[in-house]
Amino acid sequence: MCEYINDIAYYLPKKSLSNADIESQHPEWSIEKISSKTGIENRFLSGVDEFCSDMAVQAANKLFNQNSPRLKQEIDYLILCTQNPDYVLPTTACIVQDRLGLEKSIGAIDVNLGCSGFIYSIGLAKGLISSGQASNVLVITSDTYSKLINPNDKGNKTIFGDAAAATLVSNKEEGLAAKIEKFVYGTDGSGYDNLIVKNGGSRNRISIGQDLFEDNVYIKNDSNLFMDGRAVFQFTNAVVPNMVSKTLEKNNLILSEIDSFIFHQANKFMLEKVRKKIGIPENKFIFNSGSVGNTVSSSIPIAFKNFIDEVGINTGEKIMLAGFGVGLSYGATIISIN
Amino acid sequence: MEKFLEIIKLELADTHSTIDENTKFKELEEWDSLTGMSLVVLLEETYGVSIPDEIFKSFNTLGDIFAYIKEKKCVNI
Repeated sequence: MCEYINDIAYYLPKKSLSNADIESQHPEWSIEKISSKTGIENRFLSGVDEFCSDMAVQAANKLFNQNSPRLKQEIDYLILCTQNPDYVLPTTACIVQDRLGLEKSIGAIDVNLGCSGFIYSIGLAKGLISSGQASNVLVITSDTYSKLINPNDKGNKTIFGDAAAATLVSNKEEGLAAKIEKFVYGTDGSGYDNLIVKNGGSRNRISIGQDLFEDNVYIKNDSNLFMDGRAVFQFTNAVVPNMVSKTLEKNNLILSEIDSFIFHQANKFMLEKVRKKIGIPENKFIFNSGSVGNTVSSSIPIAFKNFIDEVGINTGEKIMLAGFGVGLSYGATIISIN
Repeated sequence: MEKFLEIIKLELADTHSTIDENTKFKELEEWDSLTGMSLVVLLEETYGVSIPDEIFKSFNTLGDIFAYIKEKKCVNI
């Protein structure tokens, strides 16, 4: 049995945050210079009353609208990947099942992963299909990191954007018919605190964090997103080249046989360092997220969808997808276009 | 020192500025926080010496970075 990605749709919130907006908020921040390196000119922010399930429903409805009217009833499993659930409990996937009007006989779970989450979610979808537990898995990624970013945190504000994406993984070879090959996964929880929101879970449930400044520069607030950029960069630089080699090996391929590489769109600066280290030719390495920023779990499906629409894919092509980040967690797979 | 300066040059995307041990790197046109972050990671990979943020902040010249690595490495670099 084979498993395929048959279609992708994504949703971007209405409100945008341009470099000019950030510059007006933080005149001391050399946004143009930073942006020329990160490649990010714009991001979208979820509305005040717009949350994970709202964006997930928007993305999924877009997917349903561009497919057969029967598709909604054919979905037999929902995987919602998010780190920004509507509530501590219940599972946001249950809320989305109801709001989308999916069958009550389906399975619905949340996956709590960020930048590697899409890879893990399509890996789970493939497993559900190949083991005969499901036939049409709706994978939704939806994150609203902007709600976690402190207003003084110009660094993270520059990088992250909100978005949701809906991907149809199926046992039927239809639409894109992009065959999902073998996976490589990796986890290093020793770096859990390099990308973290400390407050709000069971350990620090009701704590209200305080803004910490050093020399008038914002450092952190435990109720907001904290990212040790250097540690995350170090992790990426160390694990991604090895993950790429292992993924090629597992799929009996060599680097030159891959037509395109679509990695988690962290930022252009970090990706370029990794690309050079691995030796991937520039023309095969995709960065097309300058207008949306780093959308965490949705960054790979958005980049993949944009690549399909803007460049196109041809029969016989092989694409490597790789995600890495918060956890620290990483994973990669190969997609073959049939 | 030559190899060290080569690494710095590469990190500064082949800067046109002439650099030596007396160069105040934070004053270079090409310098920014991303370059700093990337340089520290690259130096750690190359020399196996980790430079804590607060120590790196205290450096003014490229010679300061070189001296720190040399001292921690305890061998000729």
